[in-house]
Amino acid sequence: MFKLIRVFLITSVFILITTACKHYKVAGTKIESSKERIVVPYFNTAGKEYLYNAKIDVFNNELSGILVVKKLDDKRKRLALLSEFGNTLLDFEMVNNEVNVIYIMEDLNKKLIVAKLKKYFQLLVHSNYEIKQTYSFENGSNLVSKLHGKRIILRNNNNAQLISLQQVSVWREKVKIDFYAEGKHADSIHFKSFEIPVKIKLRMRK
Amino acid sequence: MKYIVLFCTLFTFSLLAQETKLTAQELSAFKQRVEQETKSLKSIRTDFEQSKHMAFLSNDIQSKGKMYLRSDGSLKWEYTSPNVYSVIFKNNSILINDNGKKSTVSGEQDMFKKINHLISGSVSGKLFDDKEFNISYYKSGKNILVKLIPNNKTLKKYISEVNLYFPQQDATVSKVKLIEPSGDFTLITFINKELNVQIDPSIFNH
Repeated sequence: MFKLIRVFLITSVFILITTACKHYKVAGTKIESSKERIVVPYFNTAGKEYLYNAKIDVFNNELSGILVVKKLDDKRKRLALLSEFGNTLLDFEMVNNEVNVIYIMEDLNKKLIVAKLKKYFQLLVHSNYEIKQTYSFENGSNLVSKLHGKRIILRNNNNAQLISLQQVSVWREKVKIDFYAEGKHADSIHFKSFEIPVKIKLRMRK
Repeated sequence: MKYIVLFCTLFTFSLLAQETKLTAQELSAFKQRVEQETKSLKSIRTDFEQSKHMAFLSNDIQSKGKMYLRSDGSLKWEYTSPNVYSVIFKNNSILINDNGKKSTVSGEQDMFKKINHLISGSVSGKLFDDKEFNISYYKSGKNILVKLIPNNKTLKKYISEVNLYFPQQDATVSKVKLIEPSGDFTLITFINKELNVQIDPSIFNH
């Protein structure tokens, strides 16, 4: 009897590991590439002020506001989220790979929320990635990199235009950002977290 | 020669920026004028221009719209450019119309009540005897400047000072400046202001 139970348990764990806990696989065929770095062109012109209308869906509550990003110099970027009335909801400064909170409104100032917001907005505006691996597929390529030890997949189309950025763990996708862009300007950006129910849609403010 | 130019420039700026406290007599006359006007005030309809100033930006963020206020406390703040977005404060509720997408927020929350009170009070000039603010009065160029510093701890976290500008011969506000604790501010300028006009009640419908 015990033998039967042991066989059943081992089989169940094996099935669980091979199905539910399937490794996250990067699409495409691994290729050798001489390219060592990729520079994300969005939010990356020094001195330019990027203004976006933001629709934020957090735990099924919708907020609307304005996202402002400015690259101050080679090492620093500033990002602020404002309400339609103009009051500042949050104001972050990115220096190299670190994010400093200049201001965050009290309702958002909870350790977990601040940590997620820092991570999400850094993913949105971070621009310099070291390429670890390159995968090629019919419509473009996937470039694998790391940010703070987390795996990042940058997807280019056939014109070498960055169309999406994902943060993935060994097992699954955590964050996805889709860029609808031409050249250095992303007209529209869709952000989705698979960790917590957060979606952000950005549309360039005319 | 350059020192003379520098001196003249600094002198001109110091004159422009000069704010002198109202004398007791001037203050009494001003308060009387505003009180009389607000007593008979039934409604305000005005266009507005909103300008958000952030120290790290070279250009302020601009919005435009229309504002409607009725003596029963109903207030509509309608953005028309660059975004279509409106907020109605009515019967303790906040009705939001985000480019056709409608939602309602309960206005029972303390913060919303304070915001509504602050906005409608700023526009109509009914804030002068408010115990929630420390109020001082100045002459500033062609305006009378009323500075309100919140006493309320909650409000203080969002707004460090409200400046109301009254043209010397006018009893209603022409500009409202909401200064945040960081020093960044939102300046709202009212133009084409009409007092005691008939406002179609459907304006305040959701």
